[in-house]
Amino acid sequence: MVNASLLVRPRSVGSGGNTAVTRFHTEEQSMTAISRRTFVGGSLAAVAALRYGRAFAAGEPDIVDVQGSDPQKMIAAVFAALGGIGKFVKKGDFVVIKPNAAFANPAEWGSTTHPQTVLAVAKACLDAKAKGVMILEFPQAKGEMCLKRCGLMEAMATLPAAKVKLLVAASDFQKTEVKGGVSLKTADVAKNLLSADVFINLPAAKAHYQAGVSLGLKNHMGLVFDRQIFHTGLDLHQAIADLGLVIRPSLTIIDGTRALLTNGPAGPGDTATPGRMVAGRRIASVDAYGLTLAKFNNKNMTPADVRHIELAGKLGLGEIDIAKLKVKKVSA
Amino acid sequence: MTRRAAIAAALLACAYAAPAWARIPPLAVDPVEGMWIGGGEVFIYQTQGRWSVFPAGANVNKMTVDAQIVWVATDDGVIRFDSQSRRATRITMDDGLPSQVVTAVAFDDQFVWFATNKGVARYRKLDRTIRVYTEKDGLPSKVVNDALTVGRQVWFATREGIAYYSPEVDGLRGFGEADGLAGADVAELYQVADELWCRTDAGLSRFRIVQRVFTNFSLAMMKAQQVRVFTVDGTTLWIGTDNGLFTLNDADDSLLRFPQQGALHSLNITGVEVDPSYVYITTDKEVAQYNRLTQFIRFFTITDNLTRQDGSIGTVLNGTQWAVMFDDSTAQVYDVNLDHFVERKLGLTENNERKTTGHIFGRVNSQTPYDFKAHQFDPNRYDTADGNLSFGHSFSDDRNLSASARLDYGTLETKGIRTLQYNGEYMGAQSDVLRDARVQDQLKYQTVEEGLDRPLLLQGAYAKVATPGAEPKASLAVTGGFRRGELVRDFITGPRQTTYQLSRKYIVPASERVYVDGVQLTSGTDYTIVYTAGQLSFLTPETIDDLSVIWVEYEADLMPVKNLGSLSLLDLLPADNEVGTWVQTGGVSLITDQTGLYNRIDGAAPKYIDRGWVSSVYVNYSQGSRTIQVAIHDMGNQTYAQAIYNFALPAARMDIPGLSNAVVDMGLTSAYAAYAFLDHFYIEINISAKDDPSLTSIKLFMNEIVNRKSQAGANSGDPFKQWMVAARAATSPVHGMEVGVRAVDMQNTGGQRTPVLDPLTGQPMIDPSTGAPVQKATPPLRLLTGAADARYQRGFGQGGLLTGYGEFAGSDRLDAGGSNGWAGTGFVRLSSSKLEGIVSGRKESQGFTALGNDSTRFGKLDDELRVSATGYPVAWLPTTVFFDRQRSWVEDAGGNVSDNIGTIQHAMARVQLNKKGLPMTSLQLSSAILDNPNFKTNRVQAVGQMDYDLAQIPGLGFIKRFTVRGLYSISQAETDPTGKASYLDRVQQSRLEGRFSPTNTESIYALFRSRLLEREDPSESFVRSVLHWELYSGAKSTIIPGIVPTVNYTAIYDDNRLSTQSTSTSTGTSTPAGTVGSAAGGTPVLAPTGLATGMGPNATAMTPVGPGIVTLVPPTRTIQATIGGGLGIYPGQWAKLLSPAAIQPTVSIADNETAVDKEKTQYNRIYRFDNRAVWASGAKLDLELYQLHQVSVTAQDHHENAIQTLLQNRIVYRPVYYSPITLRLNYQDTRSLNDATLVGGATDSWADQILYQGVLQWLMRWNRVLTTLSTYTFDITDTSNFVSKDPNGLPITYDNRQYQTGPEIEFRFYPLQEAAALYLYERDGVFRWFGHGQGASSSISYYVAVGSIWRLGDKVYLDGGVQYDALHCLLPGCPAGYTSTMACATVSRITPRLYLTVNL
Repeated sequence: MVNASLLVRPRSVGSGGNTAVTRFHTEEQSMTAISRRTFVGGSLAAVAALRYGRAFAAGEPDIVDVQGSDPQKMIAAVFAALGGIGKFVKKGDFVVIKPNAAFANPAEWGSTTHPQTVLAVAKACLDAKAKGVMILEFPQAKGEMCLKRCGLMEAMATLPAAKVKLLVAASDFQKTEVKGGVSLKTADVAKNLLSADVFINLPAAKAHYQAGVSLGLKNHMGLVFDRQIFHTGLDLHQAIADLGLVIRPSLTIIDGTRALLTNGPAGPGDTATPGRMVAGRRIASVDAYGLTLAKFNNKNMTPADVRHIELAGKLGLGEIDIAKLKVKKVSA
Repeated sequence: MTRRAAIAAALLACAYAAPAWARIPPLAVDPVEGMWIGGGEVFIYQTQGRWSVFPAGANVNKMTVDAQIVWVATDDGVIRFDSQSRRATRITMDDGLPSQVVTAVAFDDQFVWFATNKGVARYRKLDRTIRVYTEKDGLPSKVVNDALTVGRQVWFATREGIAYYSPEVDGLRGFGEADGLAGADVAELYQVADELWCRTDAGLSRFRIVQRVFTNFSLAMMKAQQVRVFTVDGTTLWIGTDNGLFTLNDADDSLLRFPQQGALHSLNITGVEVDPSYVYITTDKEVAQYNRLTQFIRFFTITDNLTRQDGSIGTVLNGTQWAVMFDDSTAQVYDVNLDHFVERKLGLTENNERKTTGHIFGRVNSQTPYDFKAHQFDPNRYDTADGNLSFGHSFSDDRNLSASARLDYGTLETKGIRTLQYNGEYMGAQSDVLRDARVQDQLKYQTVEEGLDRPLLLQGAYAKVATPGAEPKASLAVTGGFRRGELVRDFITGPRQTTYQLSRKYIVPASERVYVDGVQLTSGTDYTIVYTAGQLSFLTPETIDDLSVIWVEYEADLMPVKNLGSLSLLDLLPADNEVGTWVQTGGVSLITDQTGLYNRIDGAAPKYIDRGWVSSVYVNYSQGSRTIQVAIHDMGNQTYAQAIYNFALPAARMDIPGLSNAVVDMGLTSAYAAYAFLDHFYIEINISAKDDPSLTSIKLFMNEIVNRKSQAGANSGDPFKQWMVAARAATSPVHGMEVGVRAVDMQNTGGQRTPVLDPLTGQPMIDPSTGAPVQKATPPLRLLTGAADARYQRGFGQGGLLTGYGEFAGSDRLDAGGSNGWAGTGFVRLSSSKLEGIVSGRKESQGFTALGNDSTRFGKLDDELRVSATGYPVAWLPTTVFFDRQRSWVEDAGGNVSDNIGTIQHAMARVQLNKKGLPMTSLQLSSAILDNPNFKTNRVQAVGQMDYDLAQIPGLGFIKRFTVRGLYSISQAETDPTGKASYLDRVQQSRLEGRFSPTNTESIYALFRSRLLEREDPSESFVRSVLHWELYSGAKSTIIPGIVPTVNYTAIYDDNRLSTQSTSTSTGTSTPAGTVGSAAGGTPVLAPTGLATGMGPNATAMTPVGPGIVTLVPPTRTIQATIGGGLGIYPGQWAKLLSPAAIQPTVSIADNETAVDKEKTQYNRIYRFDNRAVWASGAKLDLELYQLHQVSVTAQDHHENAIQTLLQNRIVYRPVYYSPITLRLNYQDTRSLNDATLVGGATDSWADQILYQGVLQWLMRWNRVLTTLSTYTFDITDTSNFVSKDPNGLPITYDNRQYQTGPEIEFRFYPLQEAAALYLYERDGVFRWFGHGQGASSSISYYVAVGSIWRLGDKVYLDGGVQYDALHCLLPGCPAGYTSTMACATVSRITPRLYLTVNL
């Protein structure tokens, strides 16, 4: 028998101290009691059934696939399909939103999240009486330039209640243990993220020259201080997947209003306009399904083609067999 | 994005989301001056004339100020801001915070508490370590919305309920919906007296902390979705919602809609600020001021220079500055004195991100009238200067240096430095060896645990080195300096008194600990100490009885602030923490012109102006939620001061003990007021609450103000000079454990001389040859102490914590005659869900010398055992046991320690029932034993309390609320001073309180309490000594919209059979002053002169508890009774068109009667009728009519002795809106019996005085630069058969008609674009006095005044001016028929005034 009330209020569960792993998902509460050994040792099916069973029992789809052209309407449709913003954000919550705004490129290049998407999500959180909404980014280039070029600065100026914060210094990050991490053992994670009650991941949909694609999991790298070591000192794909053990969004929405198909992550490259958004609680599932948004690097990819998605699935971050996912398609 | 734009954005963010979470804007009162305000991503320091704006880097959620440190809770960590050096350091997750989102901050003695969304972080000030509390430690939820210090507890509001931290057990305990809380999600906490109010998502909950009882007021009762504003106004709460404004009276639980809500244009209340004269109300549509006296609502507009009023987000009232905050980072600030708005932009004025900061602040305050006729300065002039110099440097993010010094220079009368305060501090990083270094004029020497010694106060320095890391493995701390304070203990027993005089004055604020029957009480809720005067008062009558044993331990400041100099208006005002923990809030408002007085008190101004008013000062003080307003008026001379005192003397009043010219007004419905005159000053104090603590507080304030010159005007000198050096090394071998050793070297710089007491009388012996007291010289102290301590802490069970501590010390007296000794102490402390408590013990050898003071009531401490525990067999049944035994070596008559043992022992058991739905009940049994060779007293006490809402009883569901609270206590003490039972005392106290609300709109309340004190006589029957009872009752209804009838009845009865002598004798003992411990050399000294007799140890060591000697005297019976009724009529609730109208007739009768031995000796009764009718449209026409008729009856035959009729009418006409023309027409007729001794014994000689007054005033705002105020006054006074005394004491009869007439004009200039930057004024007035008949005078008077207020940003504030007054008598010499030249005296006086602050 499933206790549906557990789904009513996603809660943060910290284990305290500097080693705290911030979790934003109700389902993850059950995971905290399960050691990695148990998990890897073959209990995947049982655990998955337990977790996914809850979601299905509540009638919530694993994936929402929205078709449309107006980002604001599409975001509204995402939340409507998931049962409302209130299932994610409660009165008084402190919400962190991580778009991709790391590149000083025009919005049309598709290397960044559509500014209207970010605005719509932020506004929805404030309407749900969030105490604070903070949009975080650790830009690749000069921060203000990134915000300005990608259009986020202009968009967010219309909603000054939501604060945009650029992570700039080592003091903005907190060394955090990655419990269960295979390649990544510790990471310097943004303090503001660790402080949040709710984290909404808002990646753009784009190709990546090293990682294959840059979707939800890859977007997390914009929340850690030493990104270079992912590329140089670690198994990149494993480290990206490991990072998913520390950074756990309540919701991931891949902004597929446009997609950067080649020369990612910065572009310029070939672009497409899928006019879709893919959303869900389980980040590996969202990323796996997100591969259907476009032919990234001129290829119809599957999770097997993107190792960090596959590894994330193995770490329990979501079902990656999209045939097994309950998908709700809507138009906005 | 520019910085300014960023600030604007932050402010908007605040506007968008914050109303549901916390007060907007967040603010904190600075303990020295001014207020700190949060505004989006900045925080602001606001004083009277300047706004300094500092960056916060993130949204500011809450603020608090601990001494000179401002703590700012933001969405990105906590800012620790040194208000002197202006250095900011940020505490983040790197330092151990569980989250960057810090929602609130609070502090207590030892800790600063940070509330976050991931738990509570406790920051220990001593070593800057942080400990995190979450659900597993007892927090109902880790999402914490607010934190508030209430007494010695810190309370937290969480998403799942509330919780408090108790330092006694080092643990948390929570309460939630199951305990009766209205809603689980608690957004904010407020303290109202000793209650905690919780703003929850379902409404408001009131929590009586001691009784653990919730009372709820749901949002549904207000038909609102949200409480936006919660403003505490004494015991009245102003609640602003999205459905209008309400008042909730804490005394009778009545919830009333603001009767003139209809006059407001919006239901969305965004701000409510209160002061005793006005309520400042903002909605999202308007900015308004509600006059509490006249019920007039004034809507500010562009004509008042208000450039914006839509969309305000919150308000702040700071003295005379009312700031309305808007969402575009601007504020509209109303200056009450200037009657003018200015707009302020919250642009940064300070950059605290610089590596090095320096700051200079200087202030000169001067007023020096010069009398050209007498060729001398006015003796009441004042001229003071004070300033700060501060410096800060940041070596890195976590290495900071701050230093500051404050100098306060004296007055013209007594030149010299009044006080010098300095503070230097270096804070190192956690990775550094040098962690802390401090130099302070008030440095506390203390260790983490208080073992054998409580903290000592030094002028000195401190440094700490430690191994790197947040939890250093080893550390060494060195402290050294001169002793600044002296630890004193007083022990008091005997008849209950209003105020207890302690043995020392100049007590260091907050250094005291007060125990009653062994249990420690809380300052501000249980008692108040007037620190400069050394006076202790208990705030509720039930706190103590006549058999209680009171123990007060405190530090006497050896270097208090020096003489105050001449007695100016400002000098009469108590300083912060002078009366208990009351501190000034807002600025001091000094008013020197009539316009300012009208702006301040509007309709009440003529009362003062007609009686020679010169100037006034208004200031508010607050303590917790209570606010007292003090107004002191300079009336020119004592005659006028006494005249207005007599005029305003309330019908129902109570004398203030020890003051002959001061009374408390007992006849007000929901407030107390006190009035007094002193020399040429008339003093008024108001507190808008009518409960016991308010009554005590208002008396204490009046006492302190009237006696301030003698209380705070003398320096106690330095009784001894002593220095000490202490070093402590500690190591932490495992987590949770610390072991330390310390050594202290303490020396007196000279010997000590103490008076020698006569063993028979206990009085100082006098050398007959010189007439001087005989002194005993003792050698200088030289003390070496070594101690070892160990502390261990670990978790215990589910969320529990166990702490153990032990300490062993040896002392070596190196001075001649000194002794060696040892001592040990320790405790075990436990906090867990089922049990919390502490067991502590201490043992000393006879030769041990404590660093502080180990004196007891009977001599010197031998051993002490203390057990205190509360168990929770179930969560709703807390059961407490307490045991405390102290044994001492008894001192002989010479003050030398003997081998006799004296014991004080207290034991108590209490069980409380706190289950929702059942009567909240507590039963307590206690005993006390005082036993020494001289006498023995055994006391037992039983106390029962109950609190229940009868409406919960099945069948009574039709009643909204019917709460009943009851208390009964009985104490009995048997005393045998001679070894056999001698006498028995018994005290019974009862209190019964009921609040009945049949519906939401009706409330009826009654409070009855009594105290009966009896002594068993030799015939073994109890004889009444004192019987006192009080009854307060009233009712209110709003069942008919628009009509609010109220009725109140109060009666106070006293039957006193104690002789005057026995009731006035204060009993108690004080510990030896000027000594270390009470070992050899500790000859007791008498308390300083001027204290109550019998305070000396020899005089009272034999005095047991109880009422002293009962002398059966004829009973003196006194009864004071007041009955009053009022009817508020607000037709606006019937028709919006009539909303400007209000009519409020009231009738009251006050009765004072005294009988001695059945014969009535005093009879006074006053019948009073008054009515106020207002049409306050704020449009073309405003109208205010007030009528009063009062008749006084006196003496045995109940004859009339005074009749007064008063009509005050004010008509405001606005031909154009910004140009109001005001006409005041007043009539006053006062008839009173002449003094029979002046009219040859005639008892029917009536004097009559009739005053007709007309004032026409035109305020014209010509343009942005110029405003004029033109006034024409015409008075006629008819006086007939008024017999008085001339300056020679001879009778003189006035029969005359006196005219006074003349114009006044005032020019106000705002020459600069920003109106706040420069304000200039020029005023002129000419008056002609003429008349005929005996006593009339003929003269001409005029005045010219110029002045300006100049602000240069926040750098310079100058308020200066000069006024010339002259009065020329046109009938020189002695008029015909006069026996003296009293009719007229020529005046020629110039008064320059300067208030300058420089802030660089």
